[in-house]
Amino acid sequence: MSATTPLAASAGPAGPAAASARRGLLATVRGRLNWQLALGGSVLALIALVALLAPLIAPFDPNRQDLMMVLTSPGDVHWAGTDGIGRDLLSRLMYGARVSLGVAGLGMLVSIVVGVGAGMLAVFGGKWSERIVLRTIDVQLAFPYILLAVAITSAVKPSFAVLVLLMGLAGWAGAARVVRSVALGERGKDYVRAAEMVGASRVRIARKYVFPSVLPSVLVLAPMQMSAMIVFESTLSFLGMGVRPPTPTWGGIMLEGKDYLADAWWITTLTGLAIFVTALSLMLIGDGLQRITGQRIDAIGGTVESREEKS
Amino acid sequence: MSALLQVEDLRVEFPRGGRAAAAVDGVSFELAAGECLAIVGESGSGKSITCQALMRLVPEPGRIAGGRVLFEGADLLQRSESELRRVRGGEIAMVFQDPSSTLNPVFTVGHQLIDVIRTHWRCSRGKARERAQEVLEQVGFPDPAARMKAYPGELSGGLKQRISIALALACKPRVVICDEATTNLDVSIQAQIVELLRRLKDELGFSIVFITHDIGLTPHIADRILVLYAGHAVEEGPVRQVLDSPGHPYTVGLLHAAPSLSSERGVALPTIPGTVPPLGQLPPGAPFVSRCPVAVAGECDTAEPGWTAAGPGHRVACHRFAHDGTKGTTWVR
Amino acid sequence: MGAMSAAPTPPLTAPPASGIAAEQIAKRFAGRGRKGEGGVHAVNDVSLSVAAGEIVGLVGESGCGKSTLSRILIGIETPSSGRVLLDGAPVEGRAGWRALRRRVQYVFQDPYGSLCPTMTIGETLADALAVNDLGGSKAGRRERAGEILTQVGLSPADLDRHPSQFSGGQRQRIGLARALILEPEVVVCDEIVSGLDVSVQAQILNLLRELRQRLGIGLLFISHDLRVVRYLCDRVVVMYLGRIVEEGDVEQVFGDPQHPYTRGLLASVPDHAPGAPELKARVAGEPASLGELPSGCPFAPRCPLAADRCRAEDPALVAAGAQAGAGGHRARCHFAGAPR
Repeated sequence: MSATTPLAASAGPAGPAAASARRGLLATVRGRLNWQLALGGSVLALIALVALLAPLIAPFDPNRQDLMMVLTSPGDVHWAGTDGIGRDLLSRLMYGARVSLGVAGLGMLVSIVVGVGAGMLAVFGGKWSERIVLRTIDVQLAFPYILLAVAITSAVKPSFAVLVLLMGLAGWAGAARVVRSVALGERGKDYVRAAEMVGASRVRIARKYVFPSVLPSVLVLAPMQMSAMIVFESTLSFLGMGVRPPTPTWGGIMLEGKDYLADAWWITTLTGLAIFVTALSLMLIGDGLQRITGQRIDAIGGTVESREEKS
Repeated sequence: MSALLQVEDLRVEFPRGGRAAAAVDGVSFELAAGECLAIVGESGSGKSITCQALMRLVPEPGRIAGGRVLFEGADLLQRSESELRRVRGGEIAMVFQDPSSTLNPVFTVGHQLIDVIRTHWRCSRGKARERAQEVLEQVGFPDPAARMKAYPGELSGGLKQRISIALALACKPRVVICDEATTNLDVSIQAQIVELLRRLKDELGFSIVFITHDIGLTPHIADRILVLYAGHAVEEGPVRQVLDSPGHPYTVGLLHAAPSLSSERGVALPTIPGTVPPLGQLPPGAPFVSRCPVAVAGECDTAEPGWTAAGPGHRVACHRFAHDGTKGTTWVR
Repeated sequence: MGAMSAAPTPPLTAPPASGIAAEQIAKRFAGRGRKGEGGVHAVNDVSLSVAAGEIVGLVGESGCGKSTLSRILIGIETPSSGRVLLDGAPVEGRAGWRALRRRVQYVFQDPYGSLCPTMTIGETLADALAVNDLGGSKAGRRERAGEILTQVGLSPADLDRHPSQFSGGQRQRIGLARALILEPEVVVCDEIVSGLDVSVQAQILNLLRELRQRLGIGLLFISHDLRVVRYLCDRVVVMYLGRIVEEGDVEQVFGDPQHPYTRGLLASVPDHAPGAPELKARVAGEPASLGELPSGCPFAPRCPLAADRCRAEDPALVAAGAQAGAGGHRARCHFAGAPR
C-alpha cells in the first residue's frame, strides 16, 4: 500500500485484497499462494499428467478384454480391479481422464470465451446488443441443460466436439452474467469517464481499461465452471449420451459398473472417487484464487461480490 | 463543573502486519454538562475511532486496548453489553455523516422514532408518539404529525439529517456525538444544522462531542477544541484561544493551510510537508516529528512530549512549546 | 415554469480569443411524460467564459446545474440551446465537439475512482496521448508522461506504479497530469479538493496557482467551499437552480455581495479567522426542485428580502455593486444595489 494510506480510522481495513485486485494478475498470485490453490493445483496437475501420459504409463490396453479375469477385485496385477468383461479399470480410468478433462477443459474455454465476449458486448455494445445478449442469457438459463443435451445428442451423434460444445452452451450464460456485472460496475466508475474524456473509443475502453478488471473474476469462475463440467460430462456419459463406447469415459465406466454394484463395488466407487477428486481439486483452485483476488462469485446466480471496498 | 464524560488514556489497536498498532493512543478528555467539545483532525487522526470507542463500537478487527470512559463516574468499558445498549441511544446518542445509511428506508420516520423511544423508555405507543412529535418539532419541523408519515427517501439530505438528530434526541440523551454530521451538506444547510444544534444544546442542556475535519466550523459550535494527530491528542483548550494562539506546530499548520475568508489572496498557502505516517509506522518521539518544521533532533525524535499548560484550560503536547512557548512553534508568518 | 421569464442575458464581454465561453446556454432534460412533460431546465440562460490564464470559480449548492454546465463545457453533453465557443469560434459538428473534448479537460472529484486500477500511471498517461495520435512513438509518449508528472510535483519514477500505491493528494496530482498531458487551454476542476485533508488541499491549491502561471491555462474551479474559491479564483460565478445569480471579480463579489443568496452563502461559511462573524443560517429552507420552479424569482421562497414583485417577476442579470460593470459585477435581483 502507499506510504500515505489513511489509517484505519477513515478507511475500513481494506485489506490486502483491495490492493491486490488493483495490481497485475501475475503479481497478485505470485507470493500469495494459499493451501487451497497449492493442493488443488497439484492434484489437478497430477491427474492431467496421468491423462496425458496414459498411453505410456497405463498398465494395460484399456479395451483389452481378459475374460479370464472378469470382475477381479483390486490386487497385484489389476491395481484397481477389472470390469465385467475383464478390462483393467485403472487403465480405463487413466484413459477416461483424457475425455473428462479434455471435454471439461475445452468446454470451459468455450464457455469463458463466449461468456466474456457476450458480457462485454452487453455492457459496451450499445442498447440493442445489451437487449439481445440479456434475452439470450435468460432463455439459455431458463432452459434445462439436461433437456438440451438430450435434444442435441439425439439429433447428432455425440462426439468429443459435440460434448465440448454442449459444455460451452451450459456455461457461457453464467460466465456472461458474471462478466457483465463486473464490467457494468467498472463502467460506472470515473476512470472510464476519464478515458472517454481523453477521447478513447468504447472498444479501447472495454479492452484496455475494463477487461483487466474483469479478469480476476473470470479467473475464479473458470475452475469452478470446469469442476461442474467434469460432473456434467460424467452425467451425460452415464446417461449414455457421452462419447460413444468403446472409448472409456468416467461416466461410461460407471454406467457399465452399475450392473455389478453388488459384486464389484470398485468399479463405480473408484470411478466416482476419480470424478470427485478431480471436481474437488478444481473447486479448491477456484476457492484459492477467490481468496487471492478478493472476488466472491456466485457461479450459479452469476453475481459478483468484490471484497474490494471503496476507501 | 464536574465532568459528565471523562475519557482517560484511551487506546484502540488494530492488527497490522502481525502486531498491534494504535489508531488511538493515550487520548484523554473531559466533557462537562452542557458543553460542546470539538474533536478536530485529518484522516487517520483517530477522531472517529475515539468516538466509536466511547460507545464500545470499534469496528473489527480493532479493539480497545486500554483506558477508561467514565460516564457519570462509571466506566462504560466495564459495563455488560446489555447495560451498554441502554446507554447507546439512551444516555449517549450519535449522529453520523450519512443520514441515508442511518435511517431505514422501509419504515416511516414516525415508526423509527417510536421504535427508538419504546426501546429505551418502555412506554405506551401513544406516549412514544407524543414524544416523537415533540422532538420533531424541536428539530424544526412545523408539522410533526405529517412528517411522521414520511419515508426517509422522500426527504432531502438536510431534512434527513434533521431526522437523524431527532432520532438521536428522542430519548433525551445527556451526550450527543456528532461524527462529521454536517460534512456532506450544502453550506446553507450546514449553517442551519449548526444553528439548530447550538440552539437545542442551550435549550435542552445536553453536551456535544462534535467531530469534524473542518477546523473552520469549530468556533461556530464548540466551547473547547481537541486536536488529534495520528491517534494522539496534541492540543486542547478553549476554542477561541486555540485558534487565536495555537501552541502546537500541527495546529499552527492546520490553521494556516485552510484558507479563510480573510486570508491573503495571491500568495502561496503554507503547507505541512509530507503526509501522515501509516498506522503502526509512527516514528519514535513526538507523533508529529516526521513532518514538523520546528522539530529539534535529539529531543523531539526520542521522547514523547507531555502536556504543557498554555493558559487556563489550554494545553499543548510539544517539546518546543514547553521550552519556548508559541515563539518556538509558530512556523508560519 | 415561471410566469414571466426575464429576457435572455447577453454575455457581458466578447468571448475570449483563447479559452472557452458559453453563450446563453440552456439544457433541458425531457421528463417521463409522453411529450417530455415534467422535464427540467437544469441550466437556463447561462453565459460564462474562462480565458487562458484565468481562474474562474463556479459556486452553488447541489442541484444548481454546475455539473450539467461543466459537462456541456467539456463536450460530453450538448446544450438544448445556446452556443459554446472555443477560442472565439462556435463549436459545431462532430469534429468541433471532438476538438473541444481535447482542448478542455476535466479533473474528477474522486481521486480513487478516477484512475484505472489495473493500469500503471505511465500507461494511463500514455494512453491519453495514444488515442489522440500524439507523442509520436511509445518511447516519446512515455517521456512526455514523465515530463508531465514532474510538472505536477511527482517524478518520472512514478510512471510504473499503480494508483493504489498513491495517496489521495498524489492521485489528484495524477488526475491533473492526465488532464494536462493533452495540453488543453482550459481545465475544469470539479470539486477536486473537497475530498482532501486540509494540508493536502493547500498543496493542490498552490499547484493550481503555479500551473496557471507556468502554463497559462484557464481553470474553471467548481467548489462549494467559498473560502477556497475566494483564495484561488480571479472571478466567481454563483449559480442557483440552473441560473447565474451573481458574477464578477472575486474581491467585489465577496466584498460587496449584491444577491441575497450570495450574502446568505457567505454568512454560512464556517470561518476560523480571528474576528470572523458567527455563522448564520440566513438562507432558510431548501431549494425548490427544478421541476417545480416557483413563478417569479426562483430564489424568492427562501429569500429574506422577497417582496410581491419578486414572486411575480423574474429579475434579469444586471450590472450591480459599487463599481458596477467595472469588474463585470452583475446580479440577478430586483434589489441589487438597493440599501439593505
